[in-house]
Amino acid sequence: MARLCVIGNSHIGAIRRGWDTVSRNYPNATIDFFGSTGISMNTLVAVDGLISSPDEEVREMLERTSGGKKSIVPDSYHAFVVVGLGLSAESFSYVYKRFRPLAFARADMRLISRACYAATISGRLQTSLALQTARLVRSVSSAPIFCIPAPQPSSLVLDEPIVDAEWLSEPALMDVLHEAIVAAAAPIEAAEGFRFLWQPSETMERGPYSRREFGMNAVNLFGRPKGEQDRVFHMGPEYGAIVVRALLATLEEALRAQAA
Amino acid sequence: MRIATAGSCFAQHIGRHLKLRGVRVIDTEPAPPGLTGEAATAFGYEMYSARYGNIYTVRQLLQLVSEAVGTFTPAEVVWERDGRYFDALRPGVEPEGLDSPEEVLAHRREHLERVRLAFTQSNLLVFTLGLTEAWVHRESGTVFPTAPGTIAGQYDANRYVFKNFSVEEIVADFTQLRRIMRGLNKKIRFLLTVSPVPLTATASGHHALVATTYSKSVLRAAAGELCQKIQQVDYFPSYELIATPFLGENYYDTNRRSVTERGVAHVMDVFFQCQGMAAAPAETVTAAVPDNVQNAAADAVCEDILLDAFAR
Repeated sequence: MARLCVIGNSHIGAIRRGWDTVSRNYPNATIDFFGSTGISMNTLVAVDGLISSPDEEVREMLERTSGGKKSIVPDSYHAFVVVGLGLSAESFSYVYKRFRPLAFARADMRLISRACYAATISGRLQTSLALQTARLVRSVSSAPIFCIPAPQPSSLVLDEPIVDAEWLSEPALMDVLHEAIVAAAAPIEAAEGFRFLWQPSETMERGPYSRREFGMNAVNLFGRPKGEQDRVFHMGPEYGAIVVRALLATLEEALRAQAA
Repeated sequence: MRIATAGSCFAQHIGRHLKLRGVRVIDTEPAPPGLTGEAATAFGYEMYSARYGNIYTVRQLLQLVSEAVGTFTPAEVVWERDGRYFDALRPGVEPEGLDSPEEVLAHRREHLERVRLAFTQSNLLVFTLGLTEAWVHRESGTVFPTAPGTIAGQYDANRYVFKNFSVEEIVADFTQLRRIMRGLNKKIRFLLTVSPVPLTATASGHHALVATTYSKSVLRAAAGELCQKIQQVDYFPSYELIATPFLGENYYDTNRRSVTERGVAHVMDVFFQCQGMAAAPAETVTAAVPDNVQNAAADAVCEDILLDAFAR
């Protein structure tokens, strides 16, 4: 029996719903979800070997999302998965609000060199809540830790650009960003042993975008439909099912390697 | 009060302490969001009021401001090293260089706009005089912050010549600089200091100790003359506060070159007292500095150390 602990923000909703649809195929796996909205998970702390939050509201969220647990007992799990928590193209792309590499130069923006861009993305990754959380887990557990980024924006943004985030609608720019994030993650994987699980290619289209149909049934932190509210940054159960299958395949491989 | 800072590596300490104590220091080229601390400094951000890197000589500052207002065109802007391209006039701000000469030129164009903006907006320029020695393009007189062939470029004795500026030249350069800057901003005032950081190497042919004494004497004399002659110029004795043996405390680090964090805090305490501004206790400021740089030269970036390698 493999027991898995998923920690994250609203993006765990899709994975939870995805797990609901595929769990019968994995009788030897269980998954507990612990989540809270936005950046409130930055209040998580490890005390006496347990992970919880001093913030009562966050503890209530942990309780609601996990089905009754106000804290995480690390010893109970074979592996941990950190989902979203600032590890997202949306968050990292903010650099494009003011800075562009020469190939994408615009008169109202400042230039940034390739090396400086890489260092910037690396800096954002290093200080992301996702990595802070992964490091917190590592401080109390030696189990494998996986990091799953929030889904790439839906290809819907190509037709309906978002005001004040128009750069999300530039595929080439978003491609460069994705490559930079993957490159910045490699040394972290090597140094800290976390493993990044990038978005499965079958969930993507038109380059660096999530297939738009996955956003049509987007769900929130608790797995409830988001409706028209957000079909770009959050995905639904079908997307979650693909991600959770990829996760479990990787986990099986990792646990086998660990046992060997 | 809107302050701009520029100068040799000691000027980085001044800018950092001004910010630590809540003084508004202009920065027209802030780092991209996410690039902070040492990584930002490595790319020339957060050091000065624009991303010009260390400016060691008055001629270098004069040249920069003249270029920013369109009255000077440097002879060489691009230096190459191992297939990468560097801005010869600020080679330290892109440690890995850029992809092409065109990219260097594009970055420089943008930088000059920001330089112009910084000096147009500031009421006070705090400029730390660092060196009298420089390398100059023979034909055009373009002065470089580092010796060709150290960070990038290639040394060629037929192309470049060593220059050791005199008091008269520095005073003349500064007078011209002031005229151009007051054209940008009539209200601008100047606060000159002399860096207490000694030379580690010299191309003058003299011993580094002799060259240091000469250099600091010339800079101090030029600053004094400018202060006496020009109403909008003031002088602050950073050099004296650190380098005067009879003041008692040794503010040099064990390498005998870097100024300790405590020394910098002392200078800034006096600075704030002189300006009639409340000074934060040195301990408060020192406490804000990580332990690993408490005794070292904080984290100032000094390309002139590379002269040492060049001199061998």
